[in-house]
Amino acid sequence: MYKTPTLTLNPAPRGKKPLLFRGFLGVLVILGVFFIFNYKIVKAGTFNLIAPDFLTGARVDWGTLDNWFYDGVNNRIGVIRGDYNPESISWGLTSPPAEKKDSAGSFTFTMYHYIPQSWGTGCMGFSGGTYACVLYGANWVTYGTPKSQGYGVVTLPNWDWIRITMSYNYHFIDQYNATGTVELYVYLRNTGENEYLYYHELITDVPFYTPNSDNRVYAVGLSWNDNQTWSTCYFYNPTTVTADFITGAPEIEITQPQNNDIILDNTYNFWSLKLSNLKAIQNLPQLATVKVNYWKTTDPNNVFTDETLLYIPTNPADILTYLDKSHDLPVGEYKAQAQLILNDNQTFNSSIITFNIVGETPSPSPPYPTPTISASPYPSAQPTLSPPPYVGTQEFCNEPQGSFLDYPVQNITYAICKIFTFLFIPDQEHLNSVTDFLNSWTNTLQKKPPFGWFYSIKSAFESTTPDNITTDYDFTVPVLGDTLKHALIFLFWFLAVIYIIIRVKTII
Amino acid sequence: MITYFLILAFISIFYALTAPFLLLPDATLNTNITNTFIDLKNYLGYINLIAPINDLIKVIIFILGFEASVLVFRLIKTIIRG
Repeated sequence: MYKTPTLTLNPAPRGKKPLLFRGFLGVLVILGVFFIFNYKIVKAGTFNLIAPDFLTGARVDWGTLDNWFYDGVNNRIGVIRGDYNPESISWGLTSPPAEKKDSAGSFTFTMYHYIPQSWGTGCMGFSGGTYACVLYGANWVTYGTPKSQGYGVVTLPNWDWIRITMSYNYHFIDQYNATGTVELYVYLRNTGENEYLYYHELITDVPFYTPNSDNRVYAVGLSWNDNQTWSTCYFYNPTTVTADFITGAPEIEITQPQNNDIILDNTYNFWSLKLSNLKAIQNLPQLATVKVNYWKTTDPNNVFTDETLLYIPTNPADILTYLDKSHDLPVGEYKAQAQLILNDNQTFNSSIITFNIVGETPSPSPPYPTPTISASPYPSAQPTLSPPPYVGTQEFCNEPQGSFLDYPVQNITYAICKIFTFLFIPDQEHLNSVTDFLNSWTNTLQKKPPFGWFYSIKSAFESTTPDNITTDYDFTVPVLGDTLKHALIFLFWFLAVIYIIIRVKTII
Repeated sequence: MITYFLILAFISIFYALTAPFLLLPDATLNTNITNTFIDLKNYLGYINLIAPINDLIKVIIFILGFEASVLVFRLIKTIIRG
Protein backbone atom coordinates (compact mmCIF):
# COMPACT_ATOMS: atom_id res chain seq x y z
CA MET A 1 0.00 0.00 0.00
CA TYR A 2 1.39 3.28 -1.03
CA LYS A 3 1.97 5.58 1.87
CA THR A 4 1.82 9.23 1.20
CA PRO A 5 5.06 10.82 2.32
CA THR A 6 4.55 13.42 4.97
CA LEU A 7 6.30 16.71 4.86
CA THR A 8 7.31 18.03 8.25
CA LEU A 9 8.04 21.64 8.75
CA ASN A 10 10.22 22.72 11.63
CA PRO A 11 9.76 26.41 12.01
CA ALA A 12 12.24 28.27 14.11
CA PRO A 13 11.01 28.76 17.64
CA ARG A 14 9.15 31.97 18.04
CA GLY A 15 11.19 34.71 19.59
CA LYS A 16 14.54 33.29 18.64
CA LYS A 17 16.78 35.90 17.06
CA PRO A 18 18.07 35.37 13.53
CA LEU A 19 21.65 34.19 13.31
CA LEU A 20 22.83 37.33 11.56
CA PHE A 21 21.31 39.54 14.21
CA ARG A 22 22.87 37.56 17.03
CA GLY A 23 26.22 37.79 15.30
CA PHE A 24 25.85 41.51 15.02
CA LEU A 25 25.07 41.80 18.70
CA GLY A 26 28.09 39.67 19.50
CA VAL A 27 30.36 42.02 17.56
CA LEU A 28 28.91 44.96 19.43
CA VAL A 29 29.55 43.28 22.77
CA ILE A 30 33.17 42.68 21.81
CA LEU A 31 33.50 46.29 20.73
CA GLY A 32 31.95 47.35 24.01
CA VAL A 33 34.47 45.37 26.04
CA PHE A 34 37.29 47.14 24.25
CA PHE A 35 35.89 50.62 24.23
CA ILE A 36 33.53 51.08 27.13
CA PHE A 37 36.30 51.87 29.56
CA ASN A 38 38.01 54.30 27.26
CA TYR A 39 38.57 57.36 29.43
CA LYS A 40 39.05 60.65 27.66
CA ILE A 41 39.68 64.22 28.63
CA VAL A 42 36.83 66.26 27.27
CA LYS A 43 36.28 69.99 27.19
CA ALA A 44 33.19 70.39 29.21
CA GLY A 45 32.17 73.79 28.03
CA THR A 46 29.87 75.61 30.35
CA PHE A 47 28.91 73.99 33.57
CA ASN A 48 26.14 74.98 35.85
CA LEU A 49 27.32 74.88 39.35
CA ILE A 50 24.75 73.73 41.80
CA ALA A 51 25.13 76.21 44.57
CA PRO A 52 23.83 75.12 47.92
CA ASP A 53 21.33 77.45 49.40
CA PHE A 54 23.72 78.62 51.99
CA LEU A 55 22.08 81.90 52.78
CA THR A 56 18.45 81.38 53.41
CA GLY A 57 17.30 84.61 54.84
CA ALA A 58 17.79 83.41 58.34
CA ARG A 59 20.42 84.32 60.82
CA VAL A 60 23.81 83.37 59.51
CA ASP A 61 25.50 80.54 61.27
CA TRP A 62 28.79 78.84 60.74
CA GLY A 63 27.23 75.65 59.53
CA THR A 64 25.16 77.35 56.87
CA LEU A 65 28.24 78.97 55.40
CA ASP A 66 30.25 75.81 55.05
CA ASN A 67 29.09 74.15 51.87
CA TRP A 68 30.67 72.47 48.93
CA PHE A 69 30.29 73.58 45.39
CA TYR A 70 29.50 70.84 42.94
CA ASP A 71 29.99 70.87 39.21
CA GLY A 72 26.71 69.23 38.31
CA VAL A 73 28.08 65.69 38.07
CA ASN A 74 28.80 65.25 41.75
CA ASN A 75 32.41 66.33 41.58
CA ARG A 76 33.38 68.60 44.40
CA ILE A 77 35.26 71.52 42.98
CA GLY A 78 35.58 73.71 46.00
CA VAL A 79 34.06 74.66 49.24
CA ILE A 80 32.27 77.78 50.18
CA ARG A 81 33.25 78.54 53.68
CA GLY A 82 32.43 81.39 55.85
CA ASP A 83 32.84 82.60 59.32
CA TYR A 84 31.56 85.33 61.41
CA ASN A 85 32.40 86.80 64.69
CA PRO A 86 31.32 89.97 66.28
CA GLU A 87 33.67 91.86 64.05
CA SER A 88 33.55 90.34 60.63
CA ILE A 89 31.92 87.96 58.23
CA SER A 90 33.64 86.50 55.26
CA TRP A 91 33.20 83.68 52.84
CA GLY A 92 34.64 82.46 49.62
CA LEU A 93 35.93 79.51 47.67
CA THR A 94 38.66 77.49 49.25
CA SER A 95 40.26 74.10 49.22
CA PRO A 96 40.09 72.89 45.65
CA PRO A 97 39.90 69.11 45.88
CA ALA A 98 43.04 67.20 45.13
CA GLU A 99 41.63 65.80 41.91
CA LYS A 100 41.30 69.30 40.51
CA LYS A 101 44.94 70.21 40.90
CA ASP A 102 45.70 69.63 37.26
CA SER A 103 43.06 72.01 36.06
CA ALA A 104 42.24 75.66 35.84
CA GLY A 105 39.24 77.14 37.51
CA SER A 106 37.09 80.12 36.98
CA PHE A 107 34.29 81.23 39.21
CA THR A 108 32.04 84.16 39.55
CA PHE A 109 30.86 84.28 43.06
CA THR A 110 28.12 86.69 43.95
CA MET A 111 26.83 87.36 47.38
CA TYR A 112 24.17 89.65 48.63
CA HIS A 113 23.71 91.39 51.87
CA TYR A 114 20.49 92.81 52.98
CA ILE A 115 20.88 95.25 55.76
CA PRO A 116 17.58 96.21 57.29
CA GLN A 117 16.76 99.70 58.32
CA SER A 118 17.29 98.69 61.91
CA TRP A 119 20.92 97.98 61.17
CA GLY A 120 22.14 101.22 62.56
CA THR A 121 20.63 100.70 65.98
CA GLY A 122 19.97 97.02 66.55
CA CYS A 123 22.68 95.23 64.68
CA MET A 124 25.70 97.31 64.03
CA GLY A 125 26.72 100.69 65.12
CA PHE A 126 29.31 101.53 62.45
CA SER A 127 31.23 103.22 65.14
CA GLY A 128 34.52 102.10 63.76
CA GLY A 129 33.65 101.96 60.09
CA THR A 130 32.71 99.09 57.82
CA TYR A 131 34.95 97.56 55.23
CA ALA A 132 34.65 95.28 52.26
CA CYS A 133 37.85 93.49 51.59
CA VAL A 134 39.44 90.48 50.03
CA LEU A 135 41.06 88.44 52.71
CA TYR A 136 44.11 86.29 52.54
CA GLY A 137 46.51 84.62 54.83
CA ALA A 138 47.51 81.32 56.32
CA ASN A 139 44.37 81.22 58.38
CA TRP A 140 41.01 80.86 56.78
CA VAL A 141 39.34 83.81 58.32
CA THR A 142 41.29 86.81 59.21
CA TYR A 143 39.94 87.78 62.53
CA GLY A 144 40.19 91.13 64.03
CA THR A 145 41.75 93.44 61.53
CA PRO A 146 41.27 92.24 57.97
CA LYS A 147 42.14 95.68 56.80
CA SER A 148 45.74 95.02 57.53
CA GLN A 149 45.78 91.68 55.78
CA GLY A 150 43.52 92.20 52.83
CA TYR A 151 43.49 93.39 49.31
CA GLY A 152 41.02 95.84 48.02
CA VAL A 153 40.01 97.26 51.32
CA VAL A 154 37.35 99.87 50.98
CA THR A 155 35.42 101.78 53.56
CA LEU A 156 31.69 101.61 53.05
CA PRO A 157 29.28 104.40 53.75
CA ASN A 158 25.89 103.86 55.29
CA TRP A 159 23.73 101.79 52.99
CA ASP A 160 20.72 99.58 52.95
CA TRP A 161 21.86 97.06 50.39
CA ILE A 162 25.22 95.81 49.32
CA ARG A 163 26.04 93.38 46.55
CA ILE A 164 29.54 92.03 46.33
CA THR A 165 30.67 90.13 43.27
CA MET A 166 33.96 88.35 43.34
CA SER A 167 35.38 86.50 40.34
CA TYR A 168 38.08 83.92 40.79
CA ASN A 169 40.32 82.77 38.00
CA TYR A 170 43.14 80.49 38.89
CA HIS A 171 45.33 77.84 37.39
CA PHE A 172 47.86 75.52 38.88
CA ILE A 173 51.48 76.23 38.13
CA ASP A 174 52.47 72.81 39.34
CA GLN A 175 51.05 70.17 41.60
CA TYR A 176 51.12 72.37 44.67
CA ASN A 177 50.88 75.99 43.59
CA ALA A 178 48.10 77.91 41.96
CA THR A 179 47.98 81.52 40.99
CA GLY A 180 45.31 83.72 39.48
CA THR A 181 43.28 86.85 39.78
CA VAL A 182 40.50 88.17 41.93
CA GLU A 183 38.11 90.79 40.68
CA LEU A 184 36.01 92.55 43.22
CA TYR A 185 32.91 94.65 42.62
CA VAL A 186 30.95 96.35 45.34
CA TYR A 187 27.53 97.75 44.55
CA LEU A 188 25.54 99.83 46.95
CA ARG A 189 21.97 100.89 47.00
CA ASN A 190 19.71 102.61 49.41
CA THR A 191 16.08 101.65 49.51
CA GLY A 192 14.17 103.38 46.76
CA GLU A 193 17.29 104.34 44.86
CA ASN A 194 19.21 102.82 41.98
CA GLU A 195 22.13 100.55 42.58
CA TYR A 196 25.51 101.95 41.68
CA LEU A 197 29.01 100.57 41.39
CA TYR A 198 30.84 101.75 44.44
CA TYR A 199 34.12 99.92 44.15
CA HIS A 200 36.00 97.81 41.63
CA GLU A 201 39.44 96.31 41.81
CA LEU A 202 41.31 93.68 39.83
CA ILE A 203 43.97 91.94 41.86
CA THR A 204 46.44 89.89 39.85
CA ASP A 205 49.07 87.29 40.69
CA VAL A 206 47.24 86.13 43.75
CA PRO A 207 48.73 82.94 45.22
CA PHE A 208 45.56 80.94 45.56
CA TYR A 209 46.93 77.67 46.67
CA THR A 210 50.24 76.92 48.29
CA PRO A 211 51.38 73.80 50.12
CA ASN A 212 52.07 75.70 53.31
CA SER A 213 48.89 77.70 53.58
CA ASP A 214 46.62 74.99 54.91
CA ASN A 215 44.77 74.98 51.60
CA ARG A 216 43.43 78.42 52.21
CA VAL A 217 42.34 80.46 49.31
CA TYR A 218 40.75 83.83 49.19
CA ALA A 219 37.56 85.15 50.52
CA VAL A 220 35.60 88.31 50.33
CA GLY A 221 34.20 89.76 53.43
CA LEU A 222 32.83 92.55 55.42
CA SER A 223 34.39 93.73 58.56
CA TRP A 224 33.50 96.28 61.12
CA ASN A 225 34.86 97.42 64.37
CA ASP A 226 31.96 97.09 66.67
CA ASN A 227 31.12 94.32 69.07
CA GLN A 228 27.43 94.07 68.48
CA THR A 229 25.29 91.01 68.23
CA TRP A 230 23.89 89.45 65.06
CA SER A 231 20.37 89.14 66.26
CA THR A 232 18.83 91.41 63.66
CA CYS A 233 21.23 90.90 60.75
CA TYR A 234 19.88 88.93 57.86
CA PHE A 235 21.50 87.60 54.74
CA TYR A 236 19.55 86.46 51.77
CA ASN A 237 20.41 84.06 49.04
CA PRO A 238 21.02 85.59 45.61
CA THR A 239 17.80 84.44 44.02
CA THR A 240 15.82 86.15 46.70
CA VAL A 241 17.40 89.50 46.26
CA THR A 242 18.44 89.82 42.65
CA ALA A 243 15.04 90.70 41.30
CA ASP A 244 14.96 93.68 43.56
CA PHE A 245 17.97 95.35 42.03
CA ILE A 246 17.36 98.03 39.50
CA THR A 247 20.46 98.67 37.47
CA GLY A 248 19.31 100.81 34.58
CA ALA A 249 17.55 100.04 31.31
CA PRO A 250 17.82 96.88 29.19
CA GLU A 251 20.12 97.17 26.22
CA ILE A 252 20.11 95.43 22.88
CA GLU A 253 23.05 95.47 20.55
CA ILE A 254 23.74 94.03 17.12
CA THR A 255 27.02 92.17 17.46
CA GLN A 256 26.92 90.63 14.01
CA PRO A 257 27.32 92.12 11.49
CA GLN A 258 29.34 94.83 13.08
CA ASN A 259 29.23 98.42 12.06
CA ASN A 260 30.79 99.04 8.61
CA ASP A 261 31.24 95.32 7.98
CA ILE A 262 31.61 94.20 4.36
CA ILE A 263 30.04 90.78 4.05
CA LEU A 264 28.54 88.30 1.67
CA ASP A 265 24.81 87.81 1.75
CA ASN A 266 23.53 84.79 3.62
CA THR A 267 20.54 83.98 5.74
CA TYR A 268 21.34 81.44 8.46
CA ASN A 269 22.22 83.07 11.80
CA PHE A 270 22.92 86.31 9.98
CA TRP A 271 22.06 88.48 12.97
CA SER A 272 23.73 88.15 16.31
CA LEU A 273 22.12 90.13 19.10
CA LYS A 274 23.30 90.75 22.60
CA LEU A 275 20.78 91.59 25.30
CA SER A 276 22.05 92.94 28.56
CA ASN A 277 20.81 94.53 31.72
CA LEU A 278 17.48 92.73 31.52
CA LYS A 279 17.32 92.54 35.28
CA ALA A 280 16.51 96.23 35.27
CA ILE A 281 12.95 95.39 34.30
CA GLN A 282 10.65 94.31 37.03
CA ASN A 283 8.03 91.69 36.14
CA LEU A 284 10.02 90.44 33.18
CA PRO A 285 7.90 88.36 30.80
CA GLN A 286 9.02 84.85 29.99
CA LEU A 287 8.90 85.55 26.27
CA ALA A 288 10.13 88.69 24.59
CA THR A 289 10.07 89.71 20.97
CA VAL A 290 13.38 90.45 19.33
CA LYS A 291 13.23 92.23 16.02
CA VAL A 292 15.71 93.51 13.47
CA ASN A 293 14.67 96.20 11.01
CA TYR A 294 16.96 96.75 8.07
CA TRP A 295 16.80 98.75 4.91
CA LYS A 296 18.90 99.82 1.99
CA THR A 297 20.55 103.14 2.65
CA THR A 298 19.25 104.50 -0.62
CA ASP A 299 15.71 103.21 0.01
CA PRO A 300 14.83 103.86 3.66
CA ASN A 301 11.10 103.48 3.05
CA ASN A 302 11.36 99.80 2.16
CA VAL A 303 12.10 98.27 5.55
CA PHE A 304 12.59 94.53 6.00
CA THR A 305 11.92 92.92 9.34
CA ASP A 306 13.07 89.71 10.95
CA GLU A 307 11.79 88.79 14.36
CA THR A 308 11.58 85.94 16.78
CA LEU A 309 10.46 85.14 20.26
CA LEU A 310 13.08 84.79 22.92
CA TYR A 311 12.82 82.96 26.21
CA ILE A 312 13.83 85.14 29.13
CA PRO A 313 14.94 83.10 32.13
CA THR A 314 14.43 84.16 35.68
CA ASN A 315 17.16 86.48 36.87
CA PRO A 316 18.71 86.73 33.41
CA ALA A 317 22.33 87.48 32.71
CA ASP A 318 23.48 88.75 29.32
CA ILE A 319 21.86 86.82 26.49
CA LEU A 320 23.44 86.26 23.09
CA THR A 321 21.02 85.07 20.46
CA TYR A 322 21.04 84.55 16.71
CA LEU A 323 18.43 85.29 14.15
CA ASP A 324 18.06 84.20 10.55
CA LYS A 325 17.67 86.81 7.85
CA SER A 326 14.54 86.14 5.85
CA HIS A 327 15.17 88.46 2.93
CA ASP A 328 17.86 88.12 0.32
CA LEU A 329 19.74 91.34 -0.13
CA PRO A 330 21.22 92.64 -3.36
CA VAL A 331 24.67 94.13 -3.31
CA GLY A 332 24.68 97.51 -1.62
CA GLU A 333 24.88 99.41 1.63
CA TYR A 334 22.32 98.70 4.34
CA LYS A 335 21.43 99.94 7.77
CA ALA A 336 19.97 97.86 10.60
CA GLN A 337 18.49 98.45 14.01
CA ALA A 338 17.46 95.85 16.56
CA GLN A 339 14.49 96.12 18.89
CA LEU A 340 13.65 94.37 22.11
CA ILE A 341 9.93 94.38 22.90
CA LEU A 342 8.80 93.43 26.39
CA ASN A 343 5.23 93.02 27.51
CA ASP A 344 4.09 94.31 24.10
CA ASN A 345 4.52 97.89 25.22
CA GLN A 346 8.12 98.40 26.24
CA THR A 347 10.46 98.79 23.29
CA PHE A 348 14.20 99.21 23.49
CA ASN A 349 16.19 100.06 20.37
CA SER A 350 19.79 99.39 19.54
CA SER A 351 22.02 101.87 17.79
CA ILE A 352 21.83 101.81 14.00
CA ILE A 353 24.64 99.99 12.26
CA THR A 354 25.73 100.15 8.63
CA PHE A 355 26.96 97.16 6.66
CA ASN A 356 27.72 96.43 3.05
CA ILE A 357 26.60 93.38 1.12
CA VAL A 358 29.04 92.40 -1.59
CA GLY A 359 28.92 89.75 -4.27
CA GLU A 360 31.60 87.25 -5.05
CA THR A 361 34.66 88.81 -6.64
CA PRO A 362 35.03 87.54 -10.21
CA SER A 363 38.23 85.86 -11.19
CA PRO A 364 40.58 88.33 -12.89
CA SER A 365 42.09 85.72 -15.21
CA PRO A 366 42.04 85.65 -18.15
CA PRO A 367 42.36 89.39 -18.75
CA TYR A 368 39.35 91.11 -20.15
CA PRO A 369 39.80 92.40 -23.68
CA THR A 370 40.18 96.13 -23.86
CA PRO A 371 40.45 98.31 -26.90
CA THR A 372 42.78 100.72 -25.21
CA ILE A 373 46.40 100.05 -24.45
CA SER A 374 46.85 99.58 -20.76
CA ALA A 375 49.88 98.90 -18.64
CA SER A 376 47.97 96.25 -16.75
CA PRO A 377 46.26 93.34 -18.40
CA TYR A 378 43.47 93.60 -15.81
CA PRO A 379 40.63 96.06 -15.95
CA SER A 380 41.18 99.17 -13.90
CA ALA A 381 37.79 98.91 -12.25
CA GLN A 382 36.12 95.87 -10.88
CA PRO A 383 33.04 95.02 -12.91
CA THR A 384 29.85 95.67 -11.00
CA LEU A 385 27.60 92.71 -10.47
CA SER A 386 23.97 93.05 -11.21
CA PRO A 387 21.67 91.73 -8.48
CA PRO A 388 19.84 88.51 -9.12
CA PRO A 389 16.20 88.79 -10.11
CA TYR A 390 13.63 88.98 -7.31
CA VAL A 391 9.95 88.35 -7.24
CA GLY A 392 8.13 91.50 -8.14
CA THR A 393 11.10 93.11 -9.78
CA GLN A 394 11.94 90.60 -12.46
CA GLU A 395 10.83 91.55 -15.94
CA PHE A 396 9.04 88.49 -17.27
CA CYS A 397 7.79 90.01 -20.51
CA ASN A 398 9.88 90.56 -23.58
CA GLU A 399 9.41 94.08 -24.75
CA PRO A 400 8.81 94.28 -28.51
CA GLN A 401 11.48 95.96 -30.55
CA GLY A 402 9.13 98.25 -32.44
CA SER A 403 5.80 100.01 -32.38
CA PHE A 404 2.40 98.34 -32.46
CA LEU A 405 2.01 98.81 -36.20
CA ASP A 406 5.37 97.21 -36.90
CA TYR A 407 5.03 94.33 -34.42
CA PRO A 408 1.30 93.91 -33.58
CA VAL A 409 1.44 90.33 -32.31
CA GLN A 410 4.49 90.96 -30.12
CA ASN A 411 2.92 94.10 -28.72
CA ILE A 412 -0.36 92.34 -27.90
CA THR A 413 1.56 89.47 -26.33
CA TYR A 414 3.56 91.96 -24.33
CA ALA A 415 0.42 93.75 -23.14
CA ILE A 416 -1.24 90.48 -22.05
CA CYS A 417 1.94 89.42 -20.34
CA LYS A 418 2.08 92.73 -18.44
CA ILE A 419 -1.56 92.37 -17.39
CA PHE A 420 -1.05 88.86 -16.08
CA THR A 421 2.16 89.82 -14.34
CA PHE A 422 0.34 92.67 -12.63
CA LEU A 423 -2.55 90.43 -11.63
CA PHE A 424 -0.81 87.30 -10.46
CA ILE A 425 2.73 88.17 -9.45
CA PRO A 426 2.76 90.23 -6.27
CA ASP A 427 5.42 92.85 -5.96
CA GLN A 428 8.05 92.88 -3.29
CA GLU A 429 6.26 95.46 -1.17
CA HIS A 430 3.14 93.31 -0.91
CA LEU A 431 5.17 90.21 -0.19
CA ASN A 432 7.01 92.06 2.55
CA SER A 433 3.77 93.19 4.14
CA VAL A 434 2.42 89.64 4.07
CA THR A 435 5.64 88.27 5.50
CA ASP A 436 5.71 90.85 8.27
CA PHE A 437 2.09 90.18 9.12
CA LEU A 438 2.67 86.43 9.24
CA ASN A 439 5.72 86.88 11.45
CA SER A 440 3.84 89.17 13.81
CA TRP A 441 0.80 86.93 13.87
CA THR A 442 2.69 83.69 14.51
CA ASN A 443 4.84 85.34 17.16
CA THR A 444 1.75 86.57 18.96
CA LEU A 445 0.07 83.21 18.61
CA GLN A 446 3.11 81.43 19.98
CA LYS A 447 2.68 83.29 23.25
CA LYS A 448 -0.95 82.26 23.71
CA PRO A 449 -2.13 79.06 25.36
CA PRO A 450 -1.92 76.25 24.52
CA PHE A 451 0.84 76.98 22.01
CA GLY A 452 2.67 79.21 24.46
CA TRP A 453 3.17 76.39 26.93
CA PHE A 454 4.81 74.18 24.36
CA TYR A 455 6.90 77.06 23.12
CA SER A 456 7.98 77.91 26.66
CA ILE A 457 9.09 74.34 27.21
CA LYS A 458 10.92 74.33 23.90
CA SER A 459 12.60 77.61 24.73
CA ALA A 460 13.55 76.36 28.17
CA PHE A 461 15.15 73.34 26.57
CA GLU A 462 17.11 75.54 24.22
CA SER A 463 18.23 77.97 26.85
CA THR A 464 21.00 77.85 29.33
CA THR A 465 20.80 78.78 32.96
CA PRO A 466 22.52 82.10 33.26
CA ASP A 467 21.26 82.54 36.78
CA ASN A 468 23.51 79.75 37.91
CA ILE A 469 27.20 80.21 38.23
CA THR A 470 29.08 78.91 35.21
CA THR A 471 32.63 78.01 34.52
CA ASP A 472 34.82 76.34 31.91
CA TYR A 473 37.42 73.79 32.75
CA ASP A 474 38.77 70.41 31.76
CA PHE A 475 37.74 67.38 33.67
CA THR A 476 37.93 63.65 33.32
CA VAL A 477 34.86 61.53 32.83
CA PRO A 478 34.46 58.04 31.52
CA VAL A 479 33.16 58.55 28.01
CA LEU A 480 32.51 55.99 25.37
CA GLY A 481 35.04 55.76 22.58
CA ASP A 482 33.96 57.16 19.24
CA THR A 483 33.90 53.71 17.69
CA LEU A 484 31.50 52.36 20.26
CA LYS A 485 29.45 55.55 20.14
CA HIS A 486 29.00 55.20 16.41
CA ALA A 487 28.25 51.53 16.85
CA LEU A 488 25.59 52.32 19.43
CA ILE A 489 24.05 54.97 17.20
CA PHE A 490 24.00 52.49 14.34
CA LEU A 491 22.48 49.89 16.66
CA PHE A 492 19.72 52.28 17.73
CA TRP A 493 18.72 53.02 14.17
CA PHE A 494 19.13 49.41 13.10
CA LEU A 495 16.76 48.27 15.85
CA ALA A 496 14.33 51.03 14.90
CA VAL A 497 14.28 49.86 11.30
CA ILE A 498 13.84 46.24 12.37
CA TYR A 499 11.00 47.29 14.65
CA ILE A 500 9.27 49.17 11.87
CA ILE A 501 9.64 46.28 9.41
CA ILE A 502 8.07 43.90 11.93
CA ARG A 503 5.39 46.46 12.73
CA VAL A 504 4.51 46.95 9.08
CA LYS A 505 4.18 43.18 8.66
CA THR A 506 1.68 43.04 11.52
CA ILE A 507 -0.33 45.87 9.98
CA ILE A 508 -0.46 44.27 6.56
CA MET B 1 -2.61 91.78 -7.48
CA ILE B 2 -5.13 88.94 -7.53
CA THR B 3 -2.57 86.62 -6.00
CA TYR B 4 -1.96 89.10 -3.23
CA PHE B 5 -5.64 89.34 -2.35
CA LEU B 6 -6.01 85.57 -2.60
CA ILE B 7 -3.20 85.22 -0.11
CA LEU B 8 -4.90 87.77 2.13
CA ALA B 9 -8.19 85.90 1.93
CA PHE B 10 -6.48 82.63 2.70
CA ILE B 11 -4.67 84.14 5.69
CA SER B 12 -7.87 85.79 6.88
CA ILE B 13 -9.56 82.41 7.21
CA PHE B 14 -6.81 81.14 9.48
CA TYR B 15 -6.70 84.42 11.33
CA ALA B 16 -10.43 84.19 12.02
CA LEU B 17 -9.98 80.65 13.27
CA THR B 18 -7.17 81.60 15.61
CA ALA B 19 -8.55 84.95 16.71
CA PRO B 20 -10.08 83.54 19.93
CA PHE B 21 -6.63 82.42 21.02
CA LEU B 22 -5.35 85.96 20.63
CA LEU B 23 -7.82 87.11 23.25
CA LEU B 24 -6.21 84.88 25.85
CA PRO B 25 -3.47 86.20 28.11
CA ASP B 26 0.10 85.14 27.41
CA ALA B 27 0.91 81.63 28.55
CA THR B 28 3.43 81.56 31.35
CA LEU B 29 4.77 78.44 32.88
CA ASN B 30 5.43 78.22 36.54
CA THR B 31 9.09 78.98 37.22
CA ASN B 32 9.57 75.61 38.85
CA ILE B 33 8.35 73.85 35.73
CA THR B 34 10.60 75.94 33.51
CA ASN B 35 13.58 75.30 35.76
CA THR B 36 12.77 71.60 35.75
CA PHE B 37 12.99 71.48 31.98
CA ILE B 38 16.20 73.49 32.04
CA ASP B 39 17.67 71.09 34.59
CA LEU B 40 16.45 68.12 32.55
CA LYS B 41 18.18 69.51 29.50
CA ASN B 42 21.38 69.98 31.48
CA TYR B 43 21.30 66.49 32.89
CA LEU B 44 20.63 64.98 29.48
CA GLY B 45 23.55 67.03 28.21
CA TYR B 46 25.80 65.51 30.82
CA ILE B 47 24.63 62.00 30.00
CA ASN B 48 25.21 62.71 26.34
CA LEU B 49 28.88 63.22 27.12
CA ILE B 50 29.04 59.64 28.28
CA ALA B 51 26.61 57.88 25.94
CA PRO B 52 24.80 58.94 22.76
CA ILE B 53 21.54 59.74 24.53
CA ASN B 54 20.75 62.37 21.90
CA ASP B 55 20.47 59.77 19.15
CA LEU B 56 18.50 57.44 21.40
CA ILE B 57 15.93 60.18 21.92
CA LYS B 58 15.78 60.76 18.16
CA VAL B 59 15.11 57.05 17.60
CA ILE B 60 12.39 57.01 20.25
CA ILE B 61 10.73 60.05 18.70
CA PHE B 62 11.00 58.41 15.28
CA ILE B 63 9.28 55.26 16.54
CA LEU B 64 6.61 57.23 18.37
CA GLY B 65 5.98 59.23 15.20
CA PHE B 66 5.63 56.02 13.25
CA GLU B 67 3.19 54.62 15.80
CA ALA B 68 1.17 57.81 15.60
CA SER B 69 1.01 57.52 11.82
CA VAL B 70 -0.13 53.90 12.18
CA LEU B 71 -2.94 55.02 14.46
CA VAL B 72 -3.97 57.70 11.97
CA PHE B 73 -3.87 55.13 9.19
CA ARG B 74 -6.12 52.77 11.17
CA LEU B 75 -8.47 55.58 12.08
CA ILE B 76 -8.88 56.58 8.45
CA LYS B 77 -9.38 52.95 7.49
CA THR B 78 -12.06 52.56 10.15
CA ILE B 79 -13.83 55.71 9.04
CA ILE B 80 -13.85 54.62 5.41
CA ARG B 81 -15.17 51.16 6.20
CA GLY B 82 -17.71 52.55 8.64
